[in-house]
Order: sequence, then C-alpha cells, then structure tokens
Amino acid sequence: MMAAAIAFAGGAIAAGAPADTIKARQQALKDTGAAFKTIRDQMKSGSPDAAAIKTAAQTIKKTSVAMVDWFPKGTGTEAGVKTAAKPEIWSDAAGFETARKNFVEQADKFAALADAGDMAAVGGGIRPLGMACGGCHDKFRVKED
Amino acid sequence: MQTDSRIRVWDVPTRIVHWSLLGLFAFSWWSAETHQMDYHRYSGYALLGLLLFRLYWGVFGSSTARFAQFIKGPSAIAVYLRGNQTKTIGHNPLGAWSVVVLLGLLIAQVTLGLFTVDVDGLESGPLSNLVSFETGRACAKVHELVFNLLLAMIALHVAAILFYRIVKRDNLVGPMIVGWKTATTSMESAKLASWWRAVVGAMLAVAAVWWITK
Repeated sequence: MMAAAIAFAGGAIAAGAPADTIKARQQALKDTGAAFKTIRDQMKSGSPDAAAIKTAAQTIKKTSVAMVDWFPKGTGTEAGVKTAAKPEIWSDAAGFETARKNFVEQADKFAALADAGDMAAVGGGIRPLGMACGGCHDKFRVKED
Repeated sequence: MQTDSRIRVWDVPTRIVHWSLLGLFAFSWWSAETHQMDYHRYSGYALLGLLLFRLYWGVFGSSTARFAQFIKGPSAIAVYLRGNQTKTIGHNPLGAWSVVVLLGLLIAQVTLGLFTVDVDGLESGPLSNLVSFETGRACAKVHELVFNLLLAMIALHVAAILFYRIVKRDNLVGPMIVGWKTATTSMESAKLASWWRAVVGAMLAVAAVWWITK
C-alpha cells in the first residue's frame, strides 16, 4: 500500500475519470494517515526506529508535493462518488492553495528533521506538521462524526 | 432512627460508580463532539478505572452489587414478570440484564477507544500503537456504533425508571442517590462490604489503568 502511494504520488492521476481520481487520492491520503501513525508510534515506543520514521516522512512529503494534481475541477461531490472534499476547495481556491503550500513546507521541514535523525527534534516537529494537515482538513474536508 | 422502615439498598461505592459513569459518559460525548481529544482520553481512562472497579465490586462488594446475587436466568425473570416474586432489594431479575448490557457496552466502548485511531493518524488511543492504521480505523467505526447502542440502552434505562415511578409508584432514583429506601414489606438490608475492600479495589483499578495507559 505504501508502494502504491509512492508510485501514485510520483505520477499524475488527474487525467483519469473523476471517480478514479477521488479513489486514488483517498487511498494515498489513507496511506499518509498510516505514515503519520507510524511516526507517532515510533516516537511513543521509547526506542524510535529512525529508518521507519524517515520512510514515513518521505511518504508524507511525496503526498504534499503530489497533491497539487489531486483536486481537479469535477472531483467534488458532483462526481457521484462518496467524497469528503468540500466545494470550498474550488470556490476558495486561493485559500486551498495557501493551505496546500503550508503543507508542502511543513512536510519538507519534517522530512529534513527525519533525515537528520535527531529524535528530540523529530518529536518537536510532529505537532506543526499535524497542524498543517489539520489546517486544511478543518476548512476543506467534511467533518467526520 | 426508625428501625421499621429504612433499609439499605446501595452502598457508597456502587452509587459513586453509577453517577460517575453517567457524568463521564456525558463528558466523553461532549469532548468528542468538540474535538477536545486530550479531555476525551482522560475521561476514557477514568471510565476504564470505574469499570474495572465495578467488575471487582461485582465479586467482592456488598450483596446488592454482586453479579452472583442479581444475575438470574429466564425462569426467575418469568416469575418476576408475573408478579409472583417475593420482594427483594437491589436489581430485579429483568433490570439486572439491562445492567449487564450497559456495563458490557461501556467496557466494549472503552476498550475500543484504547485502540482507536483518527482518520489523520493524529489522535489515537493509548494502545493504538499495537494495531495497524486500518484496525485502528475499524475500531473508530465500531466505537461510533457502540456509542449509539449506549444511547439507546440509556434511553431504555431511563424509560424503565419512569415506568416504575409513574406506573408502579416505585422511586428508583432516590435510593441510588441516598442509598436507602422505605420498606413496604419485610425486606432485609443489603450486606455492606467493608470499606477496606473498596480501597483495595480502587487501588487495583488505578494501578491497572496506569499500566494500560502508560
């Protein structure tokens, strides 16, 4: 699944049918959530596996970079598939772009911390990265009950 | 004190547990709805401790708190429903099963919460590191389902209490607050367990919660 996310993150999927685009981005974002969990689990374990954190950080970074192509017009609820993507993604395109860029920046910073391997710094970097995810989700994703 | 009328029904630990479960259930609901996950986790830990204590108290506690005393089979329930049963204090044979279901659902709910992961992998229960992201997400979905079952059971619980109050003229809430009721026929008071047993149970529960959530 991780491999799929990375392959997907590297390529362009926007050209496909809207339903496929939605499904592909959902899978990639799930893998991103799983990567985030890996990082948090490792930090909690007391003896974090630096290599696992590095890999997970790369997954997140790739998501942040590739995401620019994941929300073409027509991939909202109008596509007829279940999606939590709010119409604001397109109606407030500038706001979405700001949030996306912030994610790219934070994911890049975090990947650098993971590469450097200073676990205290990695631990401190989790919250800002999480807030970058949350900053976008709060405004542009339908709340999950 | 009038010796003829007042009888003990519920001991102090059982009453504290009962009302704390209600308060913390409400607090957990509120903290989840408002996404205050730190509060939600602490509330879950407190509930876990209370439930563990209640299980202990169901074996070592006062007579009306003991599972062996109040869990009865279908024939006892049938007798009770026909109204032939001699009056006893504590849970009636039918109400006992609602207690079992409520406690069981609460235990299931708290246990699921320990393993639950949110959709972003950002917030999670203290044991979620033992399961995969997918399993943690599945736990979250069942956590939501069990919450709805709990709401339904609580509604039934309250409806039953109202039925007893209005139709059967029996106030069940009062004894759960003050611990005693006025006896209408000859009924025996609950046999109270000693306070040190409660202290031991509370210490065991706190230690278990600490160990699980550390």
